[in-house]
Amino acid sequence: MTATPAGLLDRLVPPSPPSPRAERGRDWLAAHGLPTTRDEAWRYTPVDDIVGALEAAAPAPASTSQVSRSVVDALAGDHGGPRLVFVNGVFEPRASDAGGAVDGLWLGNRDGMRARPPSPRAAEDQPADGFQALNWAAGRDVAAVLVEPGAQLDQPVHVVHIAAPGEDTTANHPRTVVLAGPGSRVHLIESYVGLPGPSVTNASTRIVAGAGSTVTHHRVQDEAAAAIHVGRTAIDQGARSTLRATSIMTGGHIARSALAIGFDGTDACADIDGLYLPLGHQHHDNVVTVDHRASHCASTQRFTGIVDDHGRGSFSGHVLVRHGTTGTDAHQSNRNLVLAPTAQADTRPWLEILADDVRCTHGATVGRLDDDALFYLRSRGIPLEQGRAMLVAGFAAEIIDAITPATLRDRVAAAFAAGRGG
Amino acid sequence: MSDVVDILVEREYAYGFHADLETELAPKGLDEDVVRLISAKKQEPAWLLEWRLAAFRHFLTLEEPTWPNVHHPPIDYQDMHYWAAPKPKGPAPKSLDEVDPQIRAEFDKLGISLAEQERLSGVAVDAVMDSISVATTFKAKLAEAGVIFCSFSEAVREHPELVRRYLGSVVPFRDNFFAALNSAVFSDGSFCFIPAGVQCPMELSTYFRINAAETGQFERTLIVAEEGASVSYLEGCTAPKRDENQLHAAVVELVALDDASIKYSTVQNWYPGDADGKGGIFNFVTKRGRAGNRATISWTQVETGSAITWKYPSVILQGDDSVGEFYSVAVTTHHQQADTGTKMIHIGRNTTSTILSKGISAGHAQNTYRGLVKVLRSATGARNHTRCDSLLIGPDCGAHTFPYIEVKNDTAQVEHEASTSKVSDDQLFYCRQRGLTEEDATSMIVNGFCREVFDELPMEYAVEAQALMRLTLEGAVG
Repeated sequence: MTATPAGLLDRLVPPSPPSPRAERGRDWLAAHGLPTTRDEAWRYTPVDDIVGALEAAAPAPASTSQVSRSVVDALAGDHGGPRLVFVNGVFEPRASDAGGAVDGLWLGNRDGMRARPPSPRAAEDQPADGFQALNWAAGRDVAAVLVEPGAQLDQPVHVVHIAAPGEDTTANHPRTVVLAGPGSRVHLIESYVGLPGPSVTNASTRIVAGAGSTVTHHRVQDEAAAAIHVGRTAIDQGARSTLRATSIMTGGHIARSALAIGFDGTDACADIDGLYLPLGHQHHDNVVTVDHRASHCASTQRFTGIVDDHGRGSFSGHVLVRHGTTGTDAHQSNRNLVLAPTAQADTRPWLEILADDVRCTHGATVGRLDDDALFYLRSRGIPLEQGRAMLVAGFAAEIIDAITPATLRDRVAAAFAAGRGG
Repeated sequence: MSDVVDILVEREYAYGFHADLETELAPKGLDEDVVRLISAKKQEPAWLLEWRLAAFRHFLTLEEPTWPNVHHPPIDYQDMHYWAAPKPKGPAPKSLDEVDPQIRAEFDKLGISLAEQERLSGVAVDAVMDSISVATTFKAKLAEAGVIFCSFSEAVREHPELVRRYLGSVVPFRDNFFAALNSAVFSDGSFCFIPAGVQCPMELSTYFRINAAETGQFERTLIVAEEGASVSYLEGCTAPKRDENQLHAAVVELVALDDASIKYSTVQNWYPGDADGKGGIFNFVTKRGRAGNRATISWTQVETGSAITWKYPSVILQGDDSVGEFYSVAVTTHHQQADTGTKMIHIGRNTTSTILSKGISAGHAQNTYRGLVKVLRSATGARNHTRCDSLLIGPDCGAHTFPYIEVKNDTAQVEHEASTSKVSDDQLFYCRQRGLTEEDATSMIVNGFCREVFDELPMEYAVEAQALMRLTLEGAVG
């Protein structure tokens, strides 16, 4: 950690923090500062470039005249269920569809949250890093999805965060909170998209999956070409809860997505997929931490990277099995396809195990397309370029095919094909 | 299983004796005068003293790194002796028969009978006690083949041009904190030179022994294999039982020129501390090799000793078609800590590397594999396969795997796989069903777990390593 650049706090953080959380964020940031590449977790992130952009950035305007419903549909799609739209981190009711009355679901923003009793643990939270502290300190609103105990939601809940920059770089700090009550079932889609222009999105999402709940979470980062994205998603799972999380990264110039999953109760399981596709001069960075702090939990990570042109893709996975736990099952795999001589793939699949009753495996590969498979396709009369495209699509298919609902899967498949020129 | 763990935790260190040799010590502490004193004691040429002083001045600008996954009280670099030598009882020994009988007795006790080695086993041994090489066997026979195998001090005197050419060429003193410290105060070590086209006629071996109290051991090993030469080199290490921690910060440099091959095997059994984690050696070592075109460098290590082992034997695959290998078994029990692994830097075209690491952790020990596979843009057609497995014995130990893979070339093929588990209940049950005791069964399973690495050791050492394994996991392993 380094001292926060002088002036950054003053410029991006409102002088009087609007909430105790914002105050905690500001104090934390003042004490610890933003991370640097010397911090192990940020080793593969061009954090200097991000901090540089933040130094030059102004707070994003709250004006939302550019964003209509059709713009949101075009950028993030319509997946049928209720939709909350935030522009530059501020709720945009005109583009949202809070869904009227869906049984067992409450959607809202900071104003609505204030009317509700505060969560007891919210008062003790501390930021995990400088960017999250900045998010708390400078964030202007919060997207809240509260699912009542036992509620079974059939349609996905879509939270869209749009970065709408001006001509100069602007910074926005969207925050999302999802509380899934015990025994509930919810499917959340989080889209990070943006209008063209230089922006810095510094996102923070917290999901609490209650005991016995089933949570599906798709996070799609498809921001504009000049955008910088830093996101952190923390998911705490109660006993017997089931999580299916997918992180898709296609957009942005520099994008980092950190996912921290912690098991608070026994017999929970998490299935985590990820796909990142840096092209051009894009840099996609994934950081995944799975904290097995309760016994008899199972986690599986499957991350796939396809790096092309001058792109750089990285994966840092960290499985932590705490002392005193038993019956842990943890698996981690990261496959990378390098398609150009100037592309770069970095991977760090880490296991940190402090108990003996475990079954942990990990695997990582970095390679190019299989010459034999290409030859096979060509011998069947398929031209080289088409054969390559088929194999690349096949490499990503494991992740894309598992995405639900179909509208989102098709969007991701289309974005993938567009990026690959297919 | 808990019985096994108990017995395991109670195992004894067999090499904990020390000889009451008269020892010549430098005063405690580290400053330029100590560096000058060491250099003067060894009657070194001016250029080497200058090099040491440059390293020392650089050392002063560095801070001790804190990133490894090990925990220890701060090391007071002023509270140890940087020079300890068994006091000579006359002029330097001209042959083995003239070596101080007490020193020979000590090496005999360690199972390194210098005389016997010379007669029977056909392994040339350089024995290093504290800071000083006390005997080198088989010199004459090696000289016939043109191989130079001697202590580092002797090499500085007899072959200064070779030492000057290669010293620091693979591990420069600016490399890291402990490399800088070693470069400033290194005492002795082994030097080995195999001229072009020569296959070294026998295994070379150095035996390191810390004897004196409150000393650090800083030896330096330099092995140069010229074009087409090949050599297999072994090192073994032990130290007496003492309550305080002792620092061992060595540097090993391997230079394999075109078509050369160096196989470097280590059986490291420094004193690991007692059952409560008191005492023991801090083994902070920098080992690195540079491979030319079509050259092969292979590291094999069996690490059972030391309170803390922290080292990454590495290969810089500079030449086209060069090969790097790393085979490791690291066993930690009681409160031992190990943070070890390798770095494979692929620079040349069609370079290949293989990493096989087996970590065994028992008691309250923490065992970490940390490895880097880096494929640079120039390394077209590079291949790497890494496998690291960890075995956990008991609920209070830890096993950690921290691999780094950085690939900048699209033709590279890099694979990494790893697993962590305890001794399988099914396997144990199967063996016990066949009438084996739990200890014998665990022994079999652990030995099977390490077999692929033991197979890489030269024959004599494979036997020793297995015996050491049994001893280390005494109880658990019969």
